[in-house]
Amino acid sequence: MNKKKRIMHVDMDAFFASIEQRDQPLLKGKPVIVGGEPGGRGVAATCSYEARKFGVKSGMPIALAVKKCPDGTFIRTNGKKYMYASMRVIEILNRYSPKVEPTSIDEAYLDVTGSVKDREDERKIGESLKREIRRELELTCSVGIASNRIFAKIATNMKKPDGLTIIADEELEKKIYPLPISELIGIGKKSEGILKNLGIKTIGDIAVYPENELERVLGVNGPLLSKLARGEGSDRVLAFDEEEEVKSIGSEHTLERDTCDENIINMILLKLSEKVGRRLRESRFAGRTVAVKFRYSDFSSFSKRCTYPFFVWEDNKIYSISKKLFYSVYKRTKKIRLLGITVSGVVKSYLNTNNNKIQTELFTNCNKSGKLLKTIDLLKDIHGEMAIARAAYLKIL
Amino acid sequence: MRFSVKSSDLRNVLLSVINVVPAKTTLPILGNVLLSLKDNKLCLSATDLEVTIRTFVEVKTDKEGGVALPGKIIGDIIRQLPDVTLDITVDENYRANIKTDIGEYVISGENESEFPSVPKADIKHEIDVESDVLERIISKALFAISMDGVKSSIMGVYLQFLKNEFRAVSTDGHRLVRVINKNVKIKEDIGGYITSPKALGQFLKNRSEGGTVKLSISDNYLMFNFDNFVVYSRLIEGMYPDYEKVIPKDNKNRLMVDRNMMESSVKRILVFANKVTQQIKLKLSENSVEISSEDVDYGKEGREKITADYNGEEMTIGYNAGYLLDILGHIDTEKVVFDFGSSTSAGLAYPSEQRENEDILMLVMPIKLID
Repeated sequence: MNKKKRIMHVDMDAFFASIEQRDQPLLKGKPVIVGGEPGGRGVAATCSYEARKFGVKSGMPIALAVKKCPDGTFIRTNGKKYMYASMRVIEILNRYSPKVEPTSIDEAYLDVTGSVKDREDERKIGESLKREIRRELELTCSVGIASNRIFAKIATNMKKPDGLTIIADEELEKKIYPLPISELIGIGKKSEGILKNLGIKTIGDIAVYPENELERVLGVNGPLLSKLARGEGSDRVLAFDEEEEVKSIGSEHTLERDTCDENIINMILLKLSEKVGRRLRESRFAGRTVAVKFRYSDFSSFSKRCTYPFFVWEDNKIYSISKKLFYSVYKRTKKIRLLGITVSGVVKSYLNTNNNKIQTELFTNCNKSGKLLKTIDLLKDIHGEMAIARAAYLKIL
Repeated sequence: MRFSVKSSDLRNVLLSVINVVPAKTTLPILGNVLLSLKDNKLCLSATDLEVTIRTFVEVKTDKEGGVALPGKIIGDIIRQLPDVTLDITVDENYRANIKTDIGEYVISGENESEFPSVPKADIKHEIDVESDVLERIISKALFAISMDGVKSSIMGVYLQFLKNEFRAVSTDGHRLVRVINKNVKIKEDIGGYITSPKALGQFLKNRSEGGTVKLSISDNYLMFNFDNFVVYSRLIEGMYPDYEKVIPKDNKNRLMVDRNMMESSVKRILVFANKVTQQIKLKLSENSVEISSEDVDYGKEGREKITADYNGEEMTIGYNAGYLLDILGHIDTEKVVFDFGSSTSAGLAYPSEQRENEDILMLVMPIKLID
């Protein structure tokens, strides 16, 4: 039962760019940048390895990418195409393990514990999987295998593109410990600085550093990092029908154009509230903590949260609370670039199937609003998200 | 300003006003206690702008004046001083020097004029109520107010003054309490005022038994004058819901049950209920009530049957156990009476015997049992 797990991490190489290069063979070997329209405000989603040589990175504003790589081919993101390719990749991965957990469009974890008995098996399974992806989809990927998710991902990053890296537990000291701490997830610039001051430079340094000392300087994250560094990271891979226990539901939106127009801000808060409310109701959740986060155009971010003695699940309630929270911190006239709403502290069994609290009300007839929401949700389920919308949206759409 | 006072005399009055000093405030001056000295009377006040409390103590003085001193510091030192005499002098820079046999302390204060003045208001009505009557009526109703921070009008107790009838009503939208006392002299219907629970709490905490409370009402304030205290409460704005309309008049199924027995049974059954909903079931049948709960997530369930007087329709009703316990805890007769309508409508509860001139009614909404 307690067999040490073997986790495989698969990362598609320059996924969007590779798909475009595959579909337009003339682009092969050339710098390709997939993302927003050049001249627009978008960012580079993926760039081919050829483009990376020019210093283009994913997440970089398109304008900057154009500057760095003026001769590159810029292609607008084609979500549908990549989603389809991603599904095909998952199909292939499913042949290798019943436990495949995609974590993004181009990345997935597999629990291969049951399929391998030694390093040789791991190499075979890795090569075979890579071969099938290449043969069937004409795409390459990088694979890492280790005893938990974090080390598997680190392994993948060791050799890219088209790599296969296996790290046995005996090799941790040799292969993982010398790596700089920035390779470990959960270490940002701030903690990196703090740790460097303590003389901690590598993952190995963290692993041997006293846990309580780390707790003192990093707070709750200290012991967590210590565990990760020692290889006690999560080795759980969720199969498609397994659910992670939900703690919060949230959504965020980057504006097309930065704005301080409160009408537009309110409209976006309303849309986000509807989205979050709908997702809460989908799983019959209700939550007590509402958080609003936002980013100004200078990229400084703020958030405000509040926990209430009551539960929320209705769009209107989420909206009115978010608005209150937002305007309590927002510096009017400063331009906003991103807005987000999260409802956390969620519980089940608070609502019945008609979106009504099971506790009946004395003054208000909550039947109506519950039924209304249920009807709207149903319409959207059948006819799509835009099947029914608030008239207020018509003004800015 | 200069005066002498025994530490024990100052301690009593100071600690009662300090309760009103807000722990966190955007207006730093509110962190102070105002001391003003006139005619050998030291008057102390504190406010959070919603509730203002004022009280006084007799002192010996040869120089009148006033100062605002930081509540936390003066409170902390007074709490810890043994019984000594304090000689307090405040200079023109609002520095208070406190001299005792055991030492000397200096506190920097603020100009008294910086401190928000006591709300001035045109008194429209004045009503005298026995302190014990007001205490009873408030402490029966206070628990049911809404705490959810959403609808401010139900976040206070509705004090209603009708001709010779004084009422306190509270509700949070799931339950409601109405306490009526018919032994208060009120010449005419004056109407109702939503009063902040904090102000009511100050009255309950500081009042002594017996005596009379003078209630003075202006457009925005309700003032409580009792003993040596004045509590000013800013009235909560908004329309109080039409509570009479939601009290059912024809709940025909009457249950009479021993209050203690039911309370301890509900407490035990609550252990087995879902933590979030606190849902328990009452199954009413002839001369018995079965109390049960289950929590499928944790595979636990509980069931108890207690004897009771009941000969209404057989039915099963779901309730939030917390709400039932609140009601049972606020009824002080040996037996409690419930009048039920149906499993989805409001249930009523009363003491088995009402006191003279008093009418207590509690209402609780059920939990829907079937989706």
